[in-house]
Amino acid sequence: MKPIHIISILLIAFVLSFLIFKNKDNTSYEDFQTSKENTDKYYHIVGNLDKTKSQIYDPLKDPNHFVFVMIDNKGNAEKVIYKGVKPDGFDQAEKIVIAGNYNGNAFHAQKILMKCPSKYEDKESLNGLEKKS
Amino acid sequence: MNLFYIRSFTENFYQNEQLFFLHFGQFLLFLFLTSSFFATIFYSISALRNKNLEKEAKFFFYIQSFSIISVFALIIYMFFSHRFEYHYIWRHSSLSLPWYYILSAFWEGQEGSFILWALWHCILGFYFLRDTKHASFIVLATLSFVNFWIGTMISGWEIFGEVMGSNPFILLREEIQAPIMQQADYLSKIKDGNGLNLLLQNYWMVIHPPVLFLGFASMTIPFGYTLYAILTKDFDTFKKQVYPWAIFAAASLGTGIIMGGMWAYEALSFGGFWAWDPVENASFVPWIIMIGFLHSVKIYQATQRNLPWALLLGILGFGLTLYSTFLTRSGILGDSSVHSFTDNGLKMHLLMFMGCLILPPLFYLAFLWSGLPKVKQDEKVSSREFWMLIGILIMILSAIQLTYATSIPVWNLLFGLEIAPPIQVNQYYNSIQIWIAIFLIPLMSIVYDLKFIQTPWEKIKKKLLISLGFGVLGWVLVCSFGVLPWWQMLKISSFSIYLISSQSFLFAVSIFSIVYLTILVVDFAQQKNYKAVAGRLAHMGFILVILGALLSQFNKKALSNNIQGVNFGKEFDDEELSSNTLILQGEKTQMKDFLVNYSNRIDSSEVSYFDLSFYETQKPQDSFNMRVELKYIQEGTEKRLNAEPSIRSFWHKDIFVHVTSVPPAAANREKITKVKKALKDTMYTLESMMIFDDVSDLNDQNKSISFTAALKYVGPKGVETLKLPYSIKSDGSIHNPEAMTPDSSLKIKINKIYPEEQLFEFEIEQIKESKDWIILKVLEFPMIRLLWFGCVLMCLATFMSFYFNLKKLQSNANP
Repeated sequence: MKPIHIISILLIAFVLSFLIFKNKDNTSYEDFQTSKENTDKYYHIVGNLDKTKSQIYDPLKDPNHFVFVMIDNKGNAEKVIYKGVKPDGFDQAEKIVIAGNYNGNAFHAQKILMKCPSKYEDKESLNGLEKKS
Repeated sequence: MNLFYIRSFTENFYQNEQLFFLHFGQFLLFLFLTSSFFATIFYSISALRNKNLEKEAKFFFYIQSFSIISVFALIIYMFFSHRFEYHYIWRHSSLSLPWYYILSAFWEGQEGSFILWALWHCILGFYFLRDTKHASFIVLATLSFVNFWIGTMISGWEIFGEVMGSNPFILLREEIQAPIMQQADYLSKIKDGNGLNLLLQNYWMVIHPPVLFLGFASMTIPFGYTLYAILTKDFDTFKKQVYPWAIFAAASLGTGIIMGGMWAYEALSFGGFWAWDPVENASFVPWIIMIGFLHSVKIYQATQRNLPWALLLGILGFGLTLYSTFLTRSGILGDSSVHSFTDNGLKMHLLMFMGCLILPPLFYLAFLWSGLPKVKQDEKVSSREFWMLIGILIMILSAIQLTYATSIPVWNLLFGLEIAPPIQVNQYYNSIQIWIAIFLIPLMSIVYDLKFIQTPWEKIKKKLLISLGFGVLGWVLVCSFGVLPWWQMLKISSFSIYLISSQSFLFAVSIFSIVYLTILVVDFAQQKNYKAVAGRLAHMGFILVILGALLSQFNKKALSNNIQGVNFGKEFDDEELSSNTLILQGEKTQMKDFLVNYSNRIDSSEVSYFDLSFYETQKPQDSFNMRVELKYIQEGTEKRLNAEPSIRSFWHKDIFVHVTSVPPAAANREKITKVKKALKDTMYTLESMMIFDDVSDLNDQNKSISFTAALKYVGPKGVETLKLPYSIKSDGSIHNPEAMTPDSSLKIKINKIYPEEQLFEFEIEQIKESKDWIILKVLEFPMIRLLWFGCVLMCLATFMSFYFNLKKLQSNANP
């Protein structure tokens, strides 16, 4: 075998093993039930904010502590703890996606993504326009 | 949208509409589309059939350039004259938009950026028009054909019921169906445009898109030469002429990407230069492939080896540029990117075009593969080409990993999977790409000093040993003095130990290569060989970018870290999340070495300003004042906050300040709030909370109710109990006196009761204006200037290298 072949094979094996090894860092979209059963695994969970339950966010006490209740797509409600600032526009979000793992008696979110109603959509701004006129 | 949309100018039902732009614009787009088509045909025939149709082809190329330049000028004129009857103008601009942001508004939309792309194709094409060689004809045919495709994307025509792309001249009343649009004088009611996204109102957004699209457009030239090579098998012309243009493509695309990073650092709040965002990756991968291509061509020039790979990369480089357009424009990325592009129904169109343009050359190349000229003997291990090939291979692996991970939404769609993106995106990519860099960076200096075919050991011995010495010294220093805070991260998890060791390796190999390249640069500068100097400086620039990124990004510190608050224990070690600190107005807050004071707030309808002062306790001369800005973006009926980071630069670090939350503007702050609560619920105000503890026995006789509610008030000065009586007499009159909190900050009473739901409505009135506050995230980026310096060096040196190589090509052509 030529030296170039040996080195190429080594490199490719190296990267492939990395890809396989790192593939576990990819999460999947699951629900609270699955997350509760696998507390060591990180998941993305899609759901809605439970607006009947109160939220805890008191920046004067701790600006990095935000607690709310989310209902996942299967209808299960769980307490979610997020160690960060309550995102702007959170209460108006149509859907929320949280990423993290279940720990103790709450889901610990590392990330909150929000789908906001009609972001950058023309119709909304046109409604505003009609009101103005 | 029909092209032949004939409507009389005079008989327009709607008042004040200027339909001239619509008709003229449609005409120009039609002209552009047809002329680019004919230019493609005539140039291809001239080159491949040896018929002399050059004059005709040139004529169509001129028409094509004229029409796209006119379209560009026309739309710019429409922006300046605020023709809001056109959807594109209304959507992207407003009356108050400063003139220099008209350009950002122009390329904010899909249509504008496609026009920009086509425009660059024409401008680049002018260089090749002077030439009468067949290679130039094929390049021009390729440019024209890609322009033809872009033309269809902005035509907005309907074919087989599918609308292709969107037309920049579409009218507002056609795009948005609303009752108001049926009135003849609707235009007089549209006072202002929708306006430009605030994030794009940044000077980088004026310059970054044109340079990036110059990069995309210049990727077409190497592709054209590759097509020429496989069609005519004239590999000799190919290897000579494509080389400078491959450098040009790498230089312009690289500059465009870096400018995007600078914009992200200054305008976005994620706190960094590079975030492995899908859109960033999508333009980075073609750059990597272009770098691989130009090194392959270099090997072929010097040794006659590696031609098949060069041709393959030439096709793939352009193919991945198209793929990147597909990813970003088709809407397939969805939520995985901060860059928001909407789905304009381009998915199939883009795929079809990619298929038409990329698959035939790939199949043809596969068919030619075994017949391509090859060198029988093996490369020697001491030859430059051997190690360059290894380097190219490493780059391709890097591109494979990036493409694989960026395309996760595509895999999900294709195979019906539900893979979510990784949670820690930076760690995910960094942990692989850092090893790519560790292998690649030493090659970038030693290999540059090797000779093609074979290298005597004596030639490199001294330089290698000196640089190795520096590299090892750097590694030891970094590990013992901890320029990187490795011991802090050791305790987190075993994964970080692993990451940390790779950081120190990367540091060491970077020092090694920078020293080595410096020796080489000095040597060549003494010999006045500036072409060689430029090439080596470009490599050095790249290494400095990586080193700067290593020191500033990996090593960034949150100054506003965990000063107050609850400790959650081990599972929350992420600095990113807990790095927000509350600053009360008028109170000094300690942040590492800084005392931060928030003194003043100025509000207007669109923006709030906060005056901060940072007092450096160790080095008072480094103290500074800062005014941070918070803009409000109108989104429908809601106002969203958008904090633009403020940056204070020192020679050795940047202090990056970003507002993460503020109380609502003073005018909007409600003095009276009403809340519905059940027993044992808690109510919050800005500085206190109240727990609804108890209700005395309800007397419920003859439709009269009376009771007393007990609230536990937890204020800044301690805990008190408040009693709230409430009674309804039989005649319906309500007696509900207010109670005042002991620190007289709040008045509270029971407003209403809902017996069926067991709920009580409380009315809370704030008497004392509560203290104003602001939540900040403050980051320190050490040595970020090294990163900027590396970026500038790399871009300038690559353009210099293009210049010298083009000059050499021209002087060889006309001796």
